[in-house]
Amino acid sequence: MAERRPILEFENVTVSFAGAPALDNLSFLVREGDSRIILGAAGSGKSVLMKTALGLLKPDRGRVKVFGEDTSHLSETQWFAVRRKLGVLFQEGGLFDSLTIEENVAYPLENNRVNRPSSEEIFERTKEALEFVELGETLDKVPSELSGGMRRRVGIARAMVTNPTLTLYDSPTAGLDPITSYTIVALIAKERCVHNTTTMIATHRYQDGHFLANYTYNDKTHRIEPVNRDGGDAGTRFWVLRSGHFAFEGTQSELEETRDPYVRNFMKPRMKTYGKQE
Amino acid sequence: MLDFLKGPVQAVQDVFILGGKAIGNIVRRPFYWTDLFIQMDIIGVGSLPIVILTGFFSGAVMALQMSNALATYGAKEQTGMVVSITLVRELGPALTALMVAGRNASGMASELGSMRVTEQIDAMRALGTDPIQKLVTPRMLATAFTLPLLTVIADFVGIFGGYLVAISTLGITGPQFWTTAWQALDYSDIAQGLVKPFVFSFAISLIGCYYGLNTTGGTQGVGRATTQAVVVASVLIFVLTFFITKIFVGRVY
Ligand SMILES: Nc1ncnc2c1ncn2[C@@H]1O[C@H](COP(=O)(O)OP(=O)(O)O)[C@@H](O)[C@H]1O
Ligand SMILES: [Mg+2]
Repeated sequence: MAERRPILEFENVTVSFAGAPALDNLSFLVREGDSRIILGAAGSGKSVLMKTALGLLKPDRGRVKVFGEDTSHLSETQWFAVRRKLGVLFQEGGLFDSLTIEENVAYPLENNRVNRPSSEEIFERTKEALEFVELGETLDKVPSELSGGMRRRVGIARAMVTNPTLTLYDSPTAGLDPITSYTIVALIAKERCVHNTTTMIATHRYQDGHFLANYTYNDKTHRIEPVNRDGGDAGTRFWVLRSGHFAFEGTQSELEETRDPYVRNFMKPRMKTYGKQE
Repeated sequence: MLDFLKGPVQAVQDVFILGGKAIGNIVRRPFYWTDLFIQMDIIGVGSLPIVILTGFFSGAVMALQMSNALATYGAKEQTGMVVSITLVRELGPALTALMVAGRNASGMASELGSMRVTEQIDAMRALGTDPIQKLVTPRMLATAFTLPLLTVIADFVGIFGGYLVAISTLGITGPQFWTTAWQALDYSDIAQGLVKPFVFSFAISLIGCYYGLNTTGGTQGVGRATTQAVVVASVLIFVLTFFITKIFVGRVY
């Protein structure tokens, strides 16, 4: 079998703020179809990693390759073309509060000046994406009228409406209660399966990663089901990020066997961290 | 010593870069006309009441104060001249700019700051919109268009305020007031009175946008950015008015 296409690669990437590195000489490669769970405490560099992958932050040193192409010399306009193939859910949501839910989700399609779909198609796809996250009824509302969990779901709809090759979810469950968190993670699992998207999720909750490594969406039964263990772990690997470098890289079973006390800490359900995520 | 200067120097440089990009974007597509008109409405129409009020009372106060001083030289009839010169050259531009800085530099900093901390600015860039094009350029142009207009209005209302004081309490006749007020002004005064608000407009909009776009530290950060934007823009108005005045005075004499 041919090697799967490289999607995102970091080569010795360092990103600093006022001299303090938020990402410290980080290297990794994500291939098509992979799932990556980035575990890390608040301030460990998860959001910075996501934003560097999107070209929103520029590395001080090292190289970021997207779809195998070096991005160091891309202008902002050239980045726009790259970012059209990436979906992103921001930690703070990033929904435009001056626009309705429909306009928010349609935004990446409307804003595509290279090949903008027809207005009918934009409406169809927007509605479809909102129905996917079970918010088909909220088209005319504005973000402030929705609950935190609903806003996250709108964010997921906006991230997936362009059928991206790679989707980045930055702390999708931060600040949500456990039940809502479950809904969000189940949606991510469903999106990953239905659209076959390469997926990276940053989270401070081991439960989220555990869920995504062990459960998948069944297209036929329309239900979330345990993955067939023989098939591996849904291509899911874990990274534990600590002060800008990986304290751990590996599969779930490797993670469960590790002796590193810092890493082990993430595998206990830690109720007291709810809502405290930065 | 040098380290202490690094921050401010970097900030000045960044504001110039922001201004350069925002100006460069004027000719780039897409041009956000709707945002330009919305901002012109917010800045121009929105500031009108406060600018009229401050203009009127500063003119009236000038007339009261100056008539006293002029009376000691027996030149009370010249009140109109003093009122119009100070308003058109100095007070109109500075007071109007300060009012607009208070209203709109703060508005821009807090609006863009909230967008920054809720990652709407990041989302814009991720979804193919240049935030400078969409947010900064319309605000910069709208301020550059409306601030000179507001200043002209403030000048007229101010002179009118002076006129009302002159005829009601100073015993100066209307024609006396208007003749001296009008004859006092020459083209360089008008030029000075229009160049100033035009230059101030960039200080207000770029400082407001700069502090907004560079907000860090959540909701608290937005408050901080707003305060800083108003303080820096206001101080800058005083500094700039000094230098522009110096250029004009140097040219005349
Ligand atoms: N825009 C910024 N300016 C300065 N420091 C930043 C900025 N963004 C992130 N940092 C710093 O980088 C580190 C990593 O932050 P972040 O990636 O947001 O952590 P998290 O893992 O919680 O998402 C933190 O120490 C944070 O203070
Ligand atoms: Mg984060």
